[in-house]
Amino acid sequence: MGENRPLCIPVILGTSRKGRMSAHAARFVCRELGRRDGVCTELIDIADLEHCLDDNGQGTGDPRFADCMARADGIVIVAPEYNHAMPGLLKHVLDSCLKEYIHKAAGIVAVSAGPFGGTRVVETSLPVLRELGLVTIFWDVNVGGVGKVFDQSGNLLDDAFVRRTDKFLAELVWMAKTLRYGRESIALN
Amino acid sequence: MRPTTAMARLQCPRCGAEMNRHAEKLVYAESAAELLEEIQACPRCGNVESRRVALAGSAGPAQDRVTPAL
Repeated sequence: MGENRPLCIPVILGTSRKGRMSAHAARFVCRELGRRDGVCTELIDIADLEHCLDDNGQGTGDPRFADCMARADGIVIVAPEYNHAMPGLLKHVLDSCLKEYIHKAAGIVAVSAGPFGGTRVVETSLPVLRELGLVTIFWDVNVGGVGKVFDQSGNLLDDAFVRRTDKFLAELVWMAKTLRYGRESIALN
Repeated sequence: MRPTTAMARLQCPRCGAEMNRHAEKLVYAESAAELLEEIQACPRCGNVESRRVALAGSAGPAQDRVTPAL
């Protein structure tokens, strides 16, 4: 039965911007997730996806993304804060699926250059994720002052993020396991 | 509001196991009809499927109705 399958929790790198420091955060979280027993992960870079820019909505996205979301039990969204919100291309990608997300766990790793750690992108993303049917966890990873957290090569400069990410992932894995059980075993009355 | 007809349970197209209907989402189609999108998960392989179901009081087959582009 389903409990024998490893949990699948991909990490979405949510920006295509040149020189993006968010890529370092995404690779770091992906590595930490990959160390956990019973979890498989992969990095989905939205810059590598095919984008249909003359259409929008369900079924218009890259089929590789939809397949990955269908397999997923949860997702990590690494989102930089652009003018208080997620990047437009990330929203476009997320809007390309729906049934694939429902009753699956979602956690946000917010990235900002300034001191607030992407708190605004977390707040503005929550209603979007809820409407998509994702179940958000109440831990986030806030990477503020990202230039001091990772060097240009992506090396972690602040070890506190290992501990914070561990707490975040523990909660995400718990939620992903619980929701998988519910999706597969508990019928809607 | 409940679906107009009792729908047969979905069989997983990948592995044949009986799927679990775990969620419904309200969607709006043309002609002002309201539909439910049923979301189902396979307990054996984890596959996800969905189908549209007409609500009570709606006419015509649900699958034929399209959601208007906004």
